[in-house]
Amino acid sequence: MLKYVLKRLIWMIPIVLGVAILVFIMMTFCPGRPEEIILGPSATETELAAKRLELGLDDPIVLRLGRYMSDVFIHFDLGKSWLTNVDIISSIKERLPRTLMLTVATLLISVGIGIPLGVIAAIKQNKWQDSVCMVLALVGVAIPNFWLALLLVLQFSVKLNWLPALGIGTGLAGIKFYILPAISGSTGGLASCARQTRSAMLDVIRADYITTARSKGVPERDVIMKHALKNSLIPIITVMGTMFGHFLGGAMIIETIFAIPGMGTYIIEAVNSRDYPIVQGGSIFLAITFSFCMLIVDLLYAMVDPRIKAQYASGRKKRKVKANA
Amino acid sequence: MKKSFKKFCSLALAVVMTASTLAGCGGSKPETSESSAGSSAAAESTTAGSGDTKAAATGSDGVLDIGYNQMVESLTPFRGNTLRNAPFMTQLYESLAVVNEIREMEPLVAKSWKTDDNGFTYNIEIWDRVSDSAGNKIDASDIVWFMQESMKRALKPVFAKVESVEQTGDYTLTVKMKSNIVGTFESLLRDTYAISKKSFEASPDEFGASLVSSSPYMVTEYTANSILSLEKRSDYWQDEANMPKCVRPSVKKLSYHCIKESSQMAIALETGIVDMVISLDPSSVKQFADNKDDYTVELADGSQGWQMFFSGADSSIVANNVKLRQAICYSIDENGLITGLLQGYGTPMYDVCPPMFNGFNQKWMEEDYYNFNLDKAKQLIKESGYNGEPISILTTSNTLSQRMAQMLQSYMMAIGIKVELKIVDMALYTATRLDGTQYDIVLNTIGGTFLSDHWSIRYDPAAYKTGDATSRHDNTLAELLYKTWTPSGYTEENIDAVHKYIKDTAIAYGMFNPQTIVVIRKDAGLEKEVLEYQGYIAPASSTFTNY
Amino acid sequence: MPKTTYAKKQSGFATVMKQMSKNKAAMLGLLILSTEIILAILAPYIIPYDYSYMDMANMFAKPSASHLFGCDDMGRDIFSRVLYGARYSISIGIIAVSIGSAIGCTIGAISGFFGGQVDNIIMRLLDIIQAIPGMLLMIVISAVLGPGYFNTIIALSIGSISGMARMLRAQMLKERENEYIEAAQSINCSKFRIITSHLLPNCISPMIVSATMGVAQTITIAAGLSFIGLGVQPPIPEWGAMLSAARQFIRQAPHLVYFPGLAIAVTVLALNLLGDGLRDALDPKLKN
Repeated sequence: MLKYVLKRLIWMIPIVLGVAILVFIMMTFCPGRPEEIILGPSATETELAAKRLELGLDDPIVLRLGRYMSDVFIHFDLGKSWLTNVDIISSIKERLPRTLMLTVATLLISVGIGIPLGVIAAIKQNKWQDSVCMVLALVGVAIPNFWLALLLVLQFSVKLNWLPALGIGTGLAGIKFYILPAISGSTGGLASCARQTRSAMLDVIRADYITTARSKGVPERDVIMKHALKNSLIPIITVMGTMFGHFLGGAMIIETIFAIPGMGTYIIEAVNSRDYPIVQGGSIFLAITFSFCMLIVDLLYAMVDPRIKAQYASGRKKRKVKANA
Repeated sequence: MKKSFKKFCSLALAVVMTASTLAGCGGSKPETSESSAGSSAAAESTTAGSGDTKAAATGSDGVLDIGYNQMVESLTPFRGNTLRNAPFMTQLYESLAVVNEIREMEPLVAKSWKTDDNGFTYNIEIWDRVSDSAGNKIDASDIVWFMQESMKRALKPVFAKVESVEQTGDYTLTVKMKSNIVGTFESLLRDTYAISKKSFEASPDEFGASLVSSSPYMVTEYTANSILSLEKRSDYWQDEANMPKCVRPSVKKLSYHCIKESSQMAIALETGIVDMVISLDPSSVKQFADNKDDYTVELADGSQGWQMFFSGADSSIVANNVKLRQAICYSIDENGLITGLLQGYGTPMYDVCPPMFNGFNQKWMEEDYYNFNLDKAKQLIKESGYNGEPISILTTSNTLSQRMAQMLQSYMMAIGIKVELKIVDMALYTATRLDGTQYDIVLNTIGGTFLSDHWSIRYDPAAYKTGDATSRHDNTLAELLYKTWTPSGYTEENIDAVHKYIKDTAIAYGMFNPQTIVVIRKDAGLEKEVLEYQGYIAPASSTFTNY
Repeated sequence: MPKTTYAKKQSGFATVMKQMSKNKAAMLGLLILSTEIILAILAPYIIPYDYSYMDMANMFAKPSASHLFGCDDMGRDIFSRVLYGARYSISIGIIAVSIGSAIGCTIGAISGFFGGQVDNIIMRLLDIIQAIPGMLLMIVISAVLGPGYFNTIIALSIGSISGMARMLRAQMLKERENEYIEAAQSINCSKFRIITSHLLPNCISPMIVSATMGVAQTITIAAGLSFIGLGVQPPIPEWGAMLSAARQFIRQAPHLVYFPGLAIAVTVLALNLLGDGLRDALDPKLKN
């Protein structure tokens, strides 16, 4: 098991390298001259040229890429913002927790509501409960996040005055600031979670061992909770990783609406001002976050499914497992 | 942590259940009933909301919370011109002098200044007891260093107009200007901050994330593009009585919140997250203007206005066709723009610059300044020989500019002009706005204090590599401009000549001037209001009962 | 649309349709969607007003007989705009997903069939792309390409490639184990032929389902891009752009926000219903 985790961690290195290279190359193709944005319209050609030289923008792309990669992966330095000179890692340290908080909260809401909805729908297949759950899930997926966010704010902040409409707070009181953003971001994932649960449950319910359990006289509640749900969790866990990535991206919009100074607003501002180091550094950090999350998901996966655990223990390749799944 | 998470989850669960039902209702309700009920529901919520939240706002922490739609991306004193006029700037840095509400210079760090050669060389004397919050003394050498560093960094255009700066004593320095354009030195005074070189160099990130203050306030909390909290210093060097009124500190603790979504801004004010909003979007004003018991709404005429500049590059069809440009100016219904874009919170313009500019002649307001005239526009377009070639409008992707561009497109289409919109992000806009080959019309909002400021950055053919700010080389205009650049030439007659030339050739057109809308919650207890130089309330210097 | 694949196998297509027709929800989805597509095609002929015609006298006009959905902040008829916008919103979804699926499927097929090193390299490259959150990837691509209708389509299709590729590959791996492939290999069928005439048709049904869902998702993502200021630019009445431009008036004139929002919601809903129906119809396990 430990060996597997280590292997995965090592495998993260090329992925992060790849992300760094990819984003670096994409940013160099961005129209708009960063030195003009940094220096403003009054800068003369000589000043612009000096700035280009300082930022190394005139060097061939391979050289720049090499320099950047060595800074990041050998010296562990993401550099400073071109526009503000503020150290990027320290900004990320401040902002990433907020985005993580938002994303995890979003995930919890999706899973916490999606799974029960799916279970109810599956147990009551083709009854009215099924329809209600599935319609709820569908409506969730159909509403654009930012629209829902505005509607929620009008309802819960303005009319009812229960929750803050925007901003961030500190300590435990800070949690309430994340509730509306998390709900707004969760609907899409919630819906897919509910549907995934429903179809997985339906598959499992038809399986032989459930019939066996039932025929042995195991109470229906136990059949569902112990046998059916546990086994149908496996395909749901696999989508959780993808969902996390989806929420991480969706946070960019949610953060803008709710004025949360997280990674999303940080990167969007940077894209708009062509502050390449921030976009690159931010992407690297989001990629690392995402990879870690995928790792956790895979470990969870192993925990729920003893067959896979056994495979890890015996050192069999993981790819085989994936293909089977 | 675990416990809080559990609590949070259960709370969230409950909320989501309600929310999803609610969302379900909202989505599937028949539209007609929803929309007719919509406005009354909104009105209802306004009163209900303010009643509830009063407690939240007054049961306050003694911090005056201010909503603003922009925020500094870093605390560095070396900045470009963006945010130069933001309400928090005078609390962040202390400058040599400030412009007051009647647009006069008042000394702050500087004690006095004078020129002996008609505005080319200035001798400045600063106070001898200036110090910053780290206890470092600030003398003439720091001011000289700041100016030289600013010249080197070339972020603000005004520093490019400085020839040299030299320390002449402990508290005196001499500044030589490259030209004596009226207003330049005044801008320099305003843009030169008193920063201790020692403190600056001790900072690991050049004051990026934390600032050693020399102003009456110090930064207590700062998150880039999000929040800026300030607290009055106890060890400030100057007697408040010696300070200009518009920067005299009154509020002890204040906090600026950057809120970009305009609907969220109104909600923040309504729910008491902020006590006042500076430059509220016109679309949200009505609910506050209708509720005079709970809110004070103040309007100030804008200091910049919105202009359209016609490309001067030969490749553009508007560059050498004065009739076409005039036709376009006549086709624009300025009152329509004011109603459509600003819900009426704006004024038409009489020059490219609004009346607040120093040098603006009141009699221009009686002239015909391309007042909307469809017949005239149609006739001019006929005379212009316009051949149906599309005209492109360059602007940024912010909401106001987008809507403006669409309205202009529709106005111009009404006289048969085909219009293409080039709506780009800020970075691309910055990269192309000075290159007249990239557009036919560019929309912009230009600030400044003196008309000559504006003219020198827009129409001087020697200003940029490609000509003036739209790649034009108009030497007749340049001659007229240069005449106004000396203190003795900055006369009504010379200024009028430039105004008339720009107006007649229609190379630029002032469309409308949005008002700055400030809304203050009554429970903030505004007692005495002090205005800053753009004509709206200076939050830190005004007196509030509760702050 | 992938439906053409089925044209060859009339019987298969017919069975699916028959299965589908039993599913009321799916038929409702199909009905809504086809109505919308027809309306979108006919839009230039049936809209009552020019979608960009401004009439300041009608600013924020409430829905009425002359303006079914009311007027927006510039006095433009919202009904006409929503109807005309269907052309852009739906076509963005369909075209982007089609391009994305075509490229994604090709990559997935190559990877899944050849296996070994080829598979390994392709999968690792996809790992890299997938490690960047989708929205971020699309924001960066949109920033590189600039805003506009076609650029938005390109950005969105690039965003959907890796998911599609992975999915097809997984299907292929499953199918490859089947005996009929071994049989085909033993009679020396060319690899190309095995992929195109044996493997692909058997893998295609889950792809159709996810493409249908993908169109729905793409429409909402396009709305998200508009929110950030990228995406399709005005005056084109793309729904997402309309919604994001109107959001500041949500209190003052809620109808500005409701109608484009509703249009998106209904379309996405219809696509999801259709996708669910297709899934059920195509899934042999549910046929009992």
